[in-house]
Amino acid sequence: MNEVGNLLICAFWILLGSAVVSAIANVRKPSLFAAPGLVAAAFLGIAASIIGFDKYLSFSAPPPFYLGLAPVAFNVDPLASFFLFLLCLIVLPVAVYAPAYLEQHKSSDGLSGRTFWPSLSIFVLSMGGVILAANALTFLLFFELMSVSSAILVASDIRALRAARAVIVYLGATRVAVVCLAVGFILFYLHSGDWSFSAIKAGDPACLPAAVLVLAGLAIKAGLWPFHIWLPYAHPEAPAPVSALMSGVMVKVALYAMIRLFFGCGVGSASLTLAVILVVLGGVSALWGVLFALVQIDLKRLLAYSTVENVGLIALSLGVALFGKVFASEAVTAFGFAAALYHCLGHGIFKSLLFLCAGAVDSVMHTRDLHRLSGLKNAMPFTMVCFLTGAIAISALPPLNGFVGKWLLYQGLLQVALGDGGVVAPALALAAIGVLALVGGLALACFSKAFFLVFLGRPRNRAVARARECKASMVFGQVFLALACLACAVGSSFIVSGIETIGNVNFMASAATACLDVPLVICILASACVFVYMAITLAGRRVRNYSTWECGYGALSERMQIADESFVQPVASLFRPVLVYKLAQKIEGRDRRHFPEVVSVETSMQSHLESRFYLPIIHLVEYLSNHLARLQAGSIHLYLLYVLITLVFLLLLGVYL
Amino acid sequence: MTDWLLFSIALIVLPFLTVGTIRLLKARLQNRLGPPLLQPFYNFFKLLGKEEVVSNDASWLFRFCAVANLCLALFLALILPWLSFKPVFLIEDLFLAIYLLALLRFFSILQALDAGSPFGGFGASREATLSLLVEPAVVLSLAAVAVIARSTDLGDMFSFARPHTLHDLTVWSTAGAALFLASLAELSRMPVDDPTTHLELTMVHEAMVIESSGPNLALVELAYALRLVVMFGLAGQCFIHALFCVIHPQTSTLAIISLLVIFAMILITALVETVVVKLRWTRVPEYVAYAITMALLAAGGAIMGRMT
Repeated sequence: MNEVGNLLICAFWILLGSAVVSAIANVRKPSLFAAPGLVAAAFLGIAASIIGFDKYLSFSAPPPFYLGLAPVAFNVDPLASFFLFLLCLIVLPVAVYAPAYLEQHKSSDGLSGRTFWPSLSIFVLSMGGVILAANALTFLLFFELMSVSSAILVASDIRALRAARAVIVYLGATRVAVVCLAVGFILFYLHSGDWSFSAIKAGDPACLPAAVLVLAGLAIKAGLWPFHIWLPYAHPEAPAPVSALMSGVMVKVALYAMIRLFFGCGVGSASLTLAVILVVLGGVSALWGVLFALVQIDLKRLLAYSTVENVGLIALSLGVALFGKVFASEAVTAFGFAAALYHCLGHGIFKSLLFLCAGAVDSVMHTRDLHRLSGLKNAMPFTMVCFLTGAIAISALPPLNGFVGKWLLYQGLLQVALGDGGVVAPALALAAIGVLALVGGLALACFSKAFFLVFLGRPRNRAVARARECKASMVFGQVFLALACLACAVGSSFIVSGIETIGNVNFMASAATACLDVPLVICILASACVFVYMAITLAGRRVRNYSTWECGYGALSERMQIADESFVQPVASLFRPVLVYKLAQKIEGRDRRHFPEVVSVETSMQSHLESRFYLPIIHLVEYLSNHLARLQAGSIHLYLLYVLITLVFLLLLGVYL
Repeated sequence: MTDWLLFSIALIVLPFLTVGTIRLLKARLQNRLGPPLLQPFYNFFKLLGKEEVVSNDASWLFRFCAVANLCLALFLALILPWLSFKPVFLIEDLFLAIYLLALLRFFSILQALDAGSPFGGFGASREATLSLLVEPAVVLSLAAVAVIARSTDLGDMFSFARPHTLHDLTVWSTAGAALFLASLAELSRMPVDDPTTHLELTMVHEAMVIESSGPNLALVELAYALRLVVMFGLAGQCFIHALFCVIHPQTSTLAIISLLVIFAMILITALVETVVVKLRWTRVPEYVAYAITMALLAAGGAIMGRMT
């Protein structure tokens, strides 16, 4: 046991202690205990991950904690340290942000404290446990804890009907995920006779069913298409700090497990089947996610769909890296692996940032409906700048970290196209480059829409006049993450070289990334210079303020500006077959051309995936459970009969096996 | 030193000259006398001296975007190889250039939306749609060039020192065609957008800049002219490389040819704008499909080229 272990154990006890104290202590503000506890644990975790970055350590819990088949064991290695760092980096601003958010957010005052803070501490603790787990049983234990505690957090606002539905969908998804994972791990155990992760050979053809099952379980948790269905329900209903953690870190934890099991830092063959599955699912979820994000009218639902897109990009990068391993191409592996991990870090930061901004807008305006928000630019200047930073980063525009992640992925795909793998692989790589370009264009449209509907234009809602910037602690959380975006971009070649140490891959990507540093710094400095120049010189210029051009017909009403549906209508009608986009216009009246009395426009969209695939399954489950319910007749005699039948069955089983 | 001198002269003169030439040629083709060749130049200085009117509803972004876009356009002109005598500038990465172009679009969309004007809103919506349609064509055609050059550095990709085989001819010419078709759509030229109608509600670029005035408008128009000449020059360079696969002219001849190619594109644009009517908005994707097809052909050619 050394300093890393001590730091982690300290963090563990602090989290557990703050959870217990905030649950049982009879104080009016549980956040007074829990939030400092989370901050302290985050600092300890950051310290541990930095000190332990190049170390390989393993330790297990003392004897009473034993899982029957394997000990509760943990492992610290570079990959785990990297994700631990990501977790703590996000927890820090979120813990500062959360108390003020809960206070301002009226609708969740029913939960504030008693259930929220203990669950949040446990949630963070279990994510750390999943990251550090050394064997499958420890992993499953903490994975379950993570699922349950996050479900409680999603249910915080249970009085709203939508939240109740979200929890049901989320719990259903996590149940299926855990079943897939458990069965997959048991199959792995049967094959190797060892529960520890180091014994798992995912590339072995004999283990393919196990690997596919585990991949399915992790894909559900990560929100890959077609398992993304829970994300757009659960993320919007959770309080903003929780959505930030779920979207920024929890889905990354599932991706971390994929990297750990399938990429296998070190020796171990990779499987072509898994690479193909990851590339296809990743590409489809990237396109699908951003397309649906574009047409959303709920700000947090939009962000949830964009998480599907980014998870798809990460899975695609991972698939490219695996592909490189299969064909022993060092360059492809290096770029793919660097893209996957860098984008994990980058997306963790900017998605949490955007969720915190959305939460700030929500707590001030009490709505997330993009129809009713607009013109917050003067009321919330800090949130506006932070959201703009996040929007630039997530649209993969230079000079921020989203761009570097996408750049690495483009380079990886181009390396596939340049490599000597026949015709099929290069053609697919070029096709993927085309898809990525389309995804980039859609993301740009999506986030320019989200940004202008919240902050630009004329206010549509009278509440905007009364809106004020949120509390200082909430602004701190956002500014911290916005600066992290900048730092992550400026230090990209440093981070990428760290990633290459983790993956034990060729140092090609960091050498290539180094040439991005100068242009990125130039862009950042230039934008700062432009800003300062404008503040100094243009402020003093003669400028006449006048109303927006209205063709000389008199004042425009606030409804006479472009709205959500009209902005996305051209794109939505282009992709009508996928979105199942329907537009119904109704114009009625005696003389309907000149004096319409009733004018209404309705748009609707529901993907075939939900209506044709998931709904029948849900109906089937309901039908089966209705019929199975007859078994539970409420008669003690019948139950005794069941016990007898089971006993006889087990005895027979014991005799004949 | 001389190449920097030549390049900076071209950088200052060509944007104004391009816009002026298109207008003049169009007027002559339509039997009009047309404005003087240097009219855009005069307009620029006239606008700089005028008073600026800013909407009450606009925020700091409105004016920030105008300045930032001009800087971005200049930066792009330094990075993209749009003239054969462009001197080497720091780092010229392909994907950096493409995404800087996207950043420029992002800022111009925000500027159009800032004041809450319905004109700006509809222009921005169309610009966002056009850009996402055009993006795959631009990226794919340049990626095809990157495959045959085996590098993503624009300086290496568009270098004349590399051996040009007859095989590359198809890739270069189809990539050039894709870029030219895409730039017509992206820069809101004729088959997609009519820059000369009187109803801003049907337009893209003019609708987006409707709130700009005075110095702000001067900056926006200059950035637009720069983008126009750089995109035309980039497509032109592809055609010159296609030519280079067959004959190998001197460096000085190449410089003259690259100017001539830009002029040829201006001529084509003027011709197209004279004889073609604007497409209905719903049919624009069909036009962009031609650009994407060209880009796909370039990509296919690049992959077939690897086989031999």
